[in-house]
Amino acid sequence: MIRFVAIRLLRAVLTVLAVALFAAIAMRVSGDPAVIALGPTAPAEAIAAYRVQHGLDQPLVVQIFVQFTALLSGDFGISPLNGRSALQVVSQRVPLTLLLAIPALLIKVLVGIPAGTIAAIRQNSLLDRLVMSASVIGIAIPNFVIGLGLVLIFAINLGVLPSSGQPNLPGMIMPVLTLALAGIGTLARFTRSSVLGVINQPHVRTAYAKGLTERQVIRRHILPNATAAMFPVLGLMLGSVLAGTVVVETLFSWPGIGSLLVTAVANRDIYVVPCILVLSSVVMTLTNVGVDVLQALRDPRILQRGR
Amino acid sequence: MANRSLRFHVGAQIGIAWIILMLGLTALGLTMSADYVLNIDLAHRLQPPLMFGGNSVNILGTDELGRDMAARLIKSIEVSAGIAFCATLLGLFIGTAAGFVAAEARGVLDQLVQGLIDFQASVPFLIIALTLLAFFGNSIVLFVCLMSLHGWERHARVARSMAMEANALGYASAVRQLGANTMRVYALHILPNIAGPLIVSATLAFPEIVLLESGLSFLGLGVQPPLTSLGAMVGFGRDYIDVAPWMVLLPSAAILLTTLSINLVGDWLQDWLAPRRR
Repeated sequence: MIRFVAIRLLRAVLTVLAVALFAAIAMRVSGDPAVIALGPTAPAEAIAAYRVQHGLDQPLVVQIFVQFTALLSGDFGISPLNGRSALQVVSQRVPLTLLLAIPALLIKVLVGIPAGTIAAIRQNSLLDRLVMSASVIGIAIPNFVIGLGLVLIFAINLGVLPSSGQPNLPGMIMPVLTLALAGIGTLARFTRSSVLGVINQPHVRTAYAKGLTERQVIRRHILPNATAAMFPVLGLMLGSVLAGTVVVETLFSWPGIGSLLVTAVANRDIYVVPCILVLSSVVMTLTNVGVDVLQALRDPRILQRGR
Repeated sequence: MANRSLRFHVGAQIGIAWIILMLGLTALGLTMSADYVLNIDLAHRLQPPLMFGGNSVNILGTDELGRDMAARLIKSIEVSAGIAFCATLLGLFIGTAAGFVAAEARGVLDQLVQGLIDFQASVPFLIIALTLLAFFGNSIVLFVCLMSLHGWERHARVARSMAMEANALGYASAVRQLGANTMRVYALHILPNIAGPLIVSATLAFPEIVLLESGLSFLGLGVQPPLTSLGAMVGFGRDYIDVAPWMVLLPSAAILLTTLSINLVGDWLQDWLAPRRR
């Protein structure tokens, strides 16, 4: 087990290092940081002085290495847009994004998994068809269309919810719903197929044969086995929520990381963008390690296979 | 056992019908003059579609500058489908090539390809795409290349494992011993044999690329004016959603129909081409 965790952690560290290296190369190869910091109208002497001062006269490889070590020590540079450190600008927005992402993930899990389970247990019933059709549409529909649909219904026609998200409860409802609905179909579909994989196995038949009720069989024999296969999907769900916040926060003018990223990209802020990239890769890889470990605890056969 | 014939797959029939209609509209779009699409008519701005009391010249209504919605929709479908098609093909090529190189070379190159696959899976692709756009700016060629990077890792994984399986089978070593060079073995013998799963992988990538492109264009970071795409139309229509909801609803419906159609056709293709994978 320790060996397994160590290998996963090592791979996670390598991945984050690769992302940081990618960011460092991109930061140094594209555009001139001196021009970006001082503006395109700065006199040539000022730019030259800035270059010497910040080591931009060094060979490219040295510059990339310096940038790489700076990124790893958490020094992402000063955002030219508001003159504060990029890390500060980003971390200030983190709680607001979590305020959307955590409820959205919870709704996804609490609706998607039961829906998929019911669909599998009542396979080919009307309910199954309904869940499957809804999830096919859910997979095909872009999240901004869901969001605009909600705005059209609840903000414009009914007038019961604000269309731009102030960080309070009524302002949260539509962004959270949009985030939750996009991707819920994938989870339901996946749950259905994992439950179907378990439902016909001999141990489930035995459980029925010894007289357990359907509810007991589902809770004690089907779901524990089906969820073991579903942990990796939960990692994917986090990724889809992270990507979803970019569009959803912009759509509802919610001041989180996603809308910050869009503004930063539009203004070509080369300090805030890598900061978000590296931080989200840290969050994602750590989650994936956690998911792998949980899965191994649930299903020790993975330890053997992972060798 | 499910019948795999197209005759019994209603979803795939609907999907194919929309794809054919889309191709027809695209052909129509190519014959349309650019003037007509860009024609600004401020006297007739924000006209509703015909069925909601609009005029019969602009049957799908007009936008904020009085441009004809029907013409712009056709042009947008052409651009969105064109980008997704080119990007899917390019991604399929990159992924297959990388998978084959990994399968043939093994060792360091294989590790490198697998490392790149891990790298891509470690961050949501939207964030990687936005980073590249921030650093290297935006042009239509760059944008298509960027979109093609989505999904290459899945194609590469499929190509790598299937090519390794194929290499262990008799036919690959037989043609090698007949003196065929490596390129020939992969292009003429292994590729046709593993085309099914790769096509399935591509039909998974295509709707995802449509969604990605429309998302980025919606944010104003994808296709730039005067060119338009379905996502860009929704993005611009968003400001008029309270007075002219059709500006949002029509392109949204077109996106949904497109991704839904390809998904349905993909489901059917998956049953038909790669029945083992269920």
